[in-house]
Amino acid sequence: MNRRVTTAVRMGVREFRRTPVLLGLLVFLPAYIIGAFVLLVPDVDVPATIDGTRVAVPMTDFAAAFMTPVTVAILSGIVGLFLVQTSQAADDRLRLAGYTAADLVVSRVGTLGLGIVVVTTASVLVAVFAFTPESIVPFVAATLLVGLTYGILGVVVGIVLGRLGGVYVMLFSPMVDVLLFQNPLATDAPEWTTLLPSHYATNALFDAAFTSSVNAWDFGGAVVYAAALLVIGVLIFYQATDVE
Amino acid sequence: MSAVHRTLEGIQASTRSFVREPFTVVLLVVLPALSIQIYGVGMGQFPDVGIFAVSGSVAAVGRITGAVFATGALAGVLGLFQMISARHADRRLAICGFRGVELVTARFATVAVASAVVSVVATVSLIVLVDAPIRAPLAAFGGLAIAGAIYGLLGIVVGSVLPRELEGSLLLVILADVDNVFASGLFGIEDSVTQFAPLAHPHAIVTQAVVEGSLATDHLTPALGHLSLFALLSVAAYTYQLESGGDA
Amino acid sequence: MNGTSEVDHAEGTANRAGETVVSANGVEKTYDSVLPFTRSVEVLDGATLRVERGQVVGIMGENGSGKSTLMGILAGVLDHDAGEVERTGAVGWCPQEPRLYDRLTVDETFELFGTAYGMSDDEIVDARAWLTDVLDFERFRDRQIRHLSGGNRQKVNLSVALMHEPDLLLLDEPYTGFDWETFLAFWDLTEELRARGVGVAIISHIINERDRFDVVYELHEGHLHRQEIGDDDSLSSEPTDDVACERTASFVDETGAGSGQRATAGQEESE
Repeated sequence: MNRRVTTAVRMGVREFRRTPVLLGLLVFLPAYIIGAFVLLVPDVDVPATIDGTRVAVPMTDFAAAFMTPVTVAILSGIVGLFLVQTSQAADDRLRLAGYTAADLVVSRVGTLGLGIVVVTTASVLVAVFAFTPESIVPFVAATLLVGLTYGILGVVVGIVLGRLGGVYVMLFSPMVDVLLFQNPLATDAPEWTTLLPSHYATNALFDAAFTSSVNAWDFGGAVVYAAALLVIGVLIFYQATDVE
Repeated sequence: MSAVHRTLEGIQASTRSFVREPFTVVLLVVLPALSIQIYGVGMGQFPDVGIFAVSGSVAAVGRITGAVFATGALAGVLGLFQMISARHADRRLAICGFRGVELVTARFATVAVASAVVSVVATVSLIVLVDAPIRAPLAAFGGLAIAGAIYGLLGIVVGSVLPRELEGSLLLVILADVDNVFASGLFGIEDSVTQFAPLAHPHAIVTQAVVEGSLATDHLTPALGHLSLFALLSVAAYTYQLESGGDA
Repeated sequence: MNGTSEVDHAEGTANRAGETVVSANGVEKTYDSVLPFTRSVEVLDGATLRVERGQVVGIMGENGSGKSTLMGILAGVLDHDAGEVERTGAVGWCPQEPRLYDRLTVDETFELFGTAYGMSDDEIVDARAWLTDVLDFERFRDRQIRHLSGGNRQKVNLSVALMHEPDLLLLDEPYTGFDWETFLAFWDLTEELRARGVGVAIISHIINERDRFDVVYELHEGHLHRQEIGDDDSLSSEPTDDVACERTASFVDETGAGSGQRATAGQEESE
C-alpha cells in the first residue's frame, strides 16, 4: 500500500474511534439482539430448511445462528453509511489535493473492511456463547460476506440517497431481506427472494452453522454478489468524488 | 399574543417544517403500505401451524405486524427528529417570549399530531390491503394510535438523551424491530415475557380487531399503562434536556 | 514556507509574472432540479475571466449570484455545462464551508492533506509551523476540527489550501470569522504570495478592500464584468463575454473612482 492509502486508512480508523456512541451501539446491539432472542425463545426444536433438507434444530441454536447475519447486516450497513457521511464532505477536496480515485477507493474499502471485522467479531462472539457452529471457519467467513455485502450497500445507498434516506433504507432492508426472506423456517419462499443481497451468504452461513459440509456454490454466489456490488460501489464513489 | 395562540403557532411551525421535507412525507405515505405488504408476503412463506404463537393466518398477522411496526417506527423517528431539530430553536424561542410550558405543550402536541396522522395512514393502508373486511376498524385504529403514541414518546426520550440522527435512528429502529418481533408471536416467546414489550398490547388490540372484530379490553389497560409510563419518561427526558442546556 | 528554497521558488515564479494560471471562457452552469414542477436555476451564462501569476483578483456579486459556483468550477470540483477552464500548476482551494474531516485534529488534517499534496514529513511539519504561526492557532493543534470555533476552523480551511504553496489560490470568503489581527495577517500573507508570483482569486463582500486587488470582477446575471484597479480605476460597462446585461448600480460609484465605498449594505452580508 502506498503512503497516501495508509495515511487515509489510519485517519479513517481514528475518525471511527472518535464516535464512542456509535462504537458503543455496535458492540451493545449484537449482545441485545442476539442475546435477547437466545435467552427468550422457548426450548423446543423447530423444522428448518438447511441445504435443501428439512431438519429439526433447537430453537436457541437457530435464534443464535439466524440473528447473527441479521445483526451484522444492519450494523455493517450503518458502518458503510457512516463512512460516506464522514468522508463525503471532504473527499473531493482530497482528490483535488492529489489523491487518485484508486487511492481513495482502496482507503475507504480498507476502512470499511476494518469496521465490518469489528461488527462481525462482536456478533460472532455473542453467537458462539449460545451455540457452537458445526463449521466455525466457514460460519465466520459467511458472516463476513453478509457484512461486506451490506457494508458496500450502505456506501452506495448513502451516496445515492443521502443521509436521511440512506439511514432508513439501511435500517429496514436487512430486516426484510435477512429476517423475513432468508428465513430457513419458511416453507414457501417466493423465487425472487433468491435475488436479494444476502441470499447466498446466509445460505452458506446456515450450512456452516448446522452441517459439517461447505457449499461452494453458495460461497461462490456470495462472493460474486459482493464483488458485483463492489464494482457498482466503486463506480458510484468515483463519480461522487470526481474532480477535473 | 395569548398562550394558546403561541402554542398553536409552535405546532404550525413544526408541521410546516415537516411537510417541507419531501423525504419524510414520502416515508409517511409509502412506508405503512410497503411494510404491510412485505410483512404479509414475508410471513406468508411460513407454515400456518407449529412454529408461531399467532391467532389467525400468519399472512394476516404478518400484515398486522407490518402495520404496527410501520406506525411505531415512523412515529418514533418523527419524535426523534422533532427533538433534534427543535433543541436549539427551542432555546431561541424561549428568549423570544415562549414560556417553558408552552414549548413543552407545542412539542408534545406536534408529536401527538404526527403519531395520529401516521396511525390514520397505517389504518387506511391496513383496511385496503388486508384480505377480509375489518369489522372493528375503530378498535384497529385505537391499537395503532396507542402504538404510534408510545413510540412518538419513545422518540422524544431517545431524542433528548441521544440527539443524533444516525445513532438515534439506529437505536430506535432496532428497539422497534425487536419489540415488534416479540409482539408478533414470531419465535413463540412466552406471554409472561412479551407482555413487557411496548408493542405487544397494541399488536394484540389490532389483531383482535382485525381477526375477531372486537375490542381486546384485556389488553387496553396494559397498553395505556405503557403509554403513561412513556409519557412520564419523555417529560422527564425533555425537562432534563431543557435544564441541561440542550447539550446532552 | 520559510527558507532559502522559498526565496528561489518565489524568484522563479515571480519571473513568470503575466503568465495565466487560470482562465475561464464562456462558462455556463445551470442547476437542474430532479423534482417535477420545480424550476432550474441558471447561474453562469458565459462567464469569462483570467488570473495571472502575482495577481490578486477579487470576485464580487450579490448574494446568490453564483460566485461560489464559479469558484468550484475554477477549482475543478464542480462540473460546468459549457465553456472552457484551463489551469496551470498546483491549485489551492479554500471553499466557503470548511470541507474538512470533523473528527480529525488540526495536526492530523495537515498530515492527511500534506500527504495528498505529495509533501514529505519534514515539509508538512514546516508548512504547519509556518501557517499556525502566521494565522495564530498553534495552541489548537491537537484539537478536533468539530471542537474548533468558526474562526479557527476557517484558519485550518485556509491553511489546507496554502500548505503546498500552490501556483493558483482560490479563496471563497476566506476570512469569515477572523478577528481583526488575523484579518490583517491574512492580507499580509496575500501580499507575500503576490510577491512570490502566486495567482490569487478571492471572493469578497467587503468592498473597502477593493484597493487591495489588481482586478475586480463583478458577477451579475451570470456574466462577469472586469475592472482594473489602479491608475485607471474604471469599470468596463460591457461584460467580459460581450453579452449585454443590466448592471448593478451599487457596483459603480457614480461620484468618482477609487473611493473604495461602493457597496450596498446587502453586499457586505455573508452569502
